[in-house]
Amino acid sequence: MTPPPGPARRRRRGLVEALNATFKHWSLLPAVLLFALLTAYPVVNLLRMAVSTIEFREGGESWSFTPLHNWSLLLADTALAPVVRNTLVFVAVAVAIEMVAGLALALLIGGLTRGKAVMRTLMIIPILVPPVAIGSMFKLMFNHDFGFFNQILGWVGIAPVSWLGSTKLALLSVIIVDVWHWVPFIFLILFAAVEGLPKEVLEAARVDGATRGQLLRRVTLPLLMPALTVALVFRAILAFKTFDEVYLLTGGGPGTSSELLSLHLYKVFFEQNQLGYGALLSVFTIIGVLSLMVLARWLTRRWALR
Amino acid sequence: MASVSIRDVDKAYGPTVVMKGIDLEVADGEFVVLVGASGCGKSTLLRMIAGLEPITGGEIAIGGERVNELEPRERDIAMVFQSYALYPHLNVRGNLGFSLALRHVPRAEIDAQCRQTAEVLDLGQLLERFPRQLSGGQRQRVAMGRAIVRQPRVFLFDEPLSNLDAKLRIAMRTEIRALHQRLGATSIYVTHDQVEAMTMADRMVVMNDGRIEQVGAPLDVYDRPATLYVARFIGAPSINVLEGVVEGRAALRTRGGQSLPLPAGAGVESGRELSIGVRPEHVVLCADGALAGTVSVVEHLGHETYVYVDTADGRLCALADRALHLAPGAAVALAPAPEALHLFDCASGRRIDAPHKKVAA
Repeated sequence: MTPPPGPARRRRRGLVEALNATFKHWSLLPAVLLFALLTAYPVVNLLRMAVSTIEFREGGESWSFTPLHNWSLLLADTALAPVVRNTLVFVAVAVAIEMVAGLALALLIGGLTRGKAVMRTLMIIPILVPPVAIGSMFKLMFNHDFGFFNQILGWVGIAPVSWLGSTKLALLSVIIVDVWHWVPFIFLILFAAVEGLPKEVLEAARVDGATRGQLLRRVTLPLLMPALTVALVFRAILAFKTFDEVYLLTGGGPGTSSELLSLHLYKVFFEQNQLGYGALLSVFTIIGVLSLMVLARWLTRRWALR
Repeated sequence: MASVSIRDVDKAYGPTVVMKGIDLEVADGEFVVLVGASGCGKSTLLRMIAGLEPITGGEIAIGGERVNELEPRERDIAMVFQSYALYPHLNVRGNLGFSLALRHVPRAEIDAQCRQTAEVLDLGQLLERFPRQLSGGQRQRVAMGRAIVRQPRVFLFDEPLSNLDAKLRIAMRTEIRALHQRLGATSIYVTHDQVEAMTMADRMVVMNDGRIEQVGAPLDVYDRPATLYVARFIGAPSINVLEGVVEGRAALRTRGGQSLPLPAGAGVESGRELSIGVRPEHVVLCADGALAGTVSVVEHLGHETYVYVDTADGRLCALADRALHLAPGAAVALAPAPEALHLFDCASGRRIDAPHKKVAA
């Protein structure tokens, strides 16, 4: 027997309908909660840390609100200026070399008629090697007495140099390792783009009278621009946060000559135990990387519109 | 403007020979159409003329000058691609002026040339647009404009209309022809569409399997196909083909067991195996023709009507009078006009000309 339609039943139906109508929003709730837990909470906590002094006493941590103290630590940090400079030099030089080499390789291998697949597989290997292995490997190769690099120098009659122990060369050595590690990454992104270039457009340009140089400058590079932007931005962001290579090779030394931002952060956090100041530095790093991403988005938008 | 000579050209990919001994002379100002089914080598031949594909043997000359070793850019040719191949990062103006900019032509002159070309092709309003903002027909025009603006010695077209819808294709066909009449530039045009070839060509080159089957004016090729392949390829609906053995002096015993009168003085000996081609317009529907059958399909195209008849030798097509009302299933007979039969050797597929006709030609 069906109950007669009454006000209660109508109200209940209204509720069901409202639930149905808004269900797509409700269904997001678990994801939103997870996101809040995993992303928003740590960020908020970091911001809170950045304005606090945190000390460990009697087996517990004690927080005190001291925004100015962290700020004064920042101003007093004499290592910061060289660290920022090192980081900028590192990002600019390493990424520039990686972009040029990656593009050159992509164009070169893209032009091969056979062996493309083999080359691509070979190129992936450096990406697969764990950073710790890379660090140990290169530490041996940079060794003053029996390292690979000094042996090469010896063959051409140059006295061995201290790759990791000299203030002039330490950052360069780190850059060399970074280039070896990351050129394949750029290569893979650009190789896919090179393979996807419209063949007839390039042929049309050749028929239209383009020399090799003109073809590269006026057709290939403009067509690759979206991929180049993506590769550049990704790589720059990752380079900004480089830690393992420096940590394993030089530990930032000698002095601060090869210390990068991430390593400095590590030291502030875990060697100096200045959690508040470390958090403040982290916030600045995040802002730096974010502005890179905004710039990137703007650039890709501009290219997409053309 | 220049002539194009292709002499004994071969093409091989590794050990695979795809073209052997191609000879073709294209006169200055001529519009030649290369036509054939896909994979017959027509596009490859065009790309070899352009220099985009190296040749394995022989010689290609443009304007009397050997170009075998020249890069595409040194051959002074323009090419219109099937995909149009517009530069996606340049607007219409940039696309039109690209080749001039490469040659460091002064900006003002490039602008003037672009404007002039845009006017010819009705692109004036679109100069600032990018290729992806254009319709297929507009892109096609830009591709044409890019070729025209350079005033090259030779125009090459690689199936430029096959990405357009039927209506636009017919319009562009006429337009390209008109453009050629105005510019008078030597043009080589590749298509798989025999109607395009028939309507556009001064001379057409029918290709098959890496060989040239026949070269000639469209109507000559239609009226006197040199091989069975050409006869089948040119003409729609397709030519009817009957196979059989010559019986006596003037008849063919078909595979289906019917007897077909051959033209007087065909000059084929008894017992020879022949393929006979006869076009639908040369088959008369009548009460007592040589070939008996039943009507299977009637196609009314408005200005003409085709009747398909199932016979002992397969389905044959005849052009019929519109007033003739035939229902599928009706018994009819077909009478091919003896003087309009094309005789081909069964084994080689080559045309067999009657002795007296040879003298006349």
